[in-house]
Amino acid sequence: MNRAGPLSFLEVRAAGASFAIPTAHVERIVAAGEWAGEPPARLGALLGIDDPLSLEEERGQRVVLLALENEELPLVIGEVIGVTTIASSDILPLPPLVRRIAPRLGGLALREGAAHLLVLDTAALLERAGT
Amino acid sequence: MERSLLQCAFLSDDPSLPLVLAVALGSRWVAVRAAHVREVLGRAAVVPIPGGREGLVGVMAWRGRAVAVLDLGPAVGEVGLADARGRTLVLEVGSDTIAVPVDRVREARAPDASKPAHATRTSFSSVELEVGGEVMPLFEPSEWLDALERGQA
Repeated sequence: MNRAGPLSFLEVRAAGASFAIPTAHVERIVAAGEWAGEPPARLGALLGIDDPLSLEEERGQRVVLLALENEELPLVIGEVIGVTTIASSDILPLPPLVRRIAPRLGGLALREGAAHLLVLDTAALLERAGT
Repeated sequence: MERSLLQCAFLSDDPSLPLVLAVALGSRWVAVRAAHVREVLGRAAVVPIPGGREGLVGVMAWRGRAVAVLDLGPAVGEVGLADARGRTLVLEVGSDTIAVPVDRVREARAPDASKPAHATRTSFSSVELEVGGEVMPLFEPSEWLDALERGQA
């Protein structure tokens, strides 16, 4: 019996892969061309991925403003797919070996009938972006 | 059915030799201690982690947890794509459980003989074994993982 509650994630594509961001940590989403705040970070760069995009490509993208405990991070995302709900019991923590190599990834979200997603570790993204 | 590869082991007269599985990546064969092998799967549903850092191909769900999927190819001099391989070994190495895509897996059996490996022939191996008439290095996954984490594999 599954007694775990559902969790809500924003499914996004960036750097050639799909990721899940907890919606609880998403403050707002705007078109990259309309973003007027501090220069946004590129998710691919934060994940250590070679992510060459032209400025024109970036203009068609979105900026997702992450917020957690008075910290904010604007993040350039290639595409916002939508919101998906996943039972917390279907969120598997990544093993230490993966966390050591990719410390900004937090988990693996299992979905029936759809591709599993890598869950971003919002706290790690905010922490590393600020250092 | 896959697990029968472990259960139907060939027996050897020399109990000092470890039971091994011969696995192939492309044309390269290596021996893996059966003691490390938890399961032999078909092609696994791997969630890729872009970037391919330190041999990390992605992650997969296995028995209710996420495990790292690592590319053994560079360690044995085989450059084929890891996600094109048809079999997946799930290995337990110390406190880590990892999955390794391979092309072929032979049944577990005791080697016919062992001899020191040529140091330059294969990384992460100190001995070669004759398995089923074929000489191959005995792969040491713990040394490999140490090197991966140091970025030296």
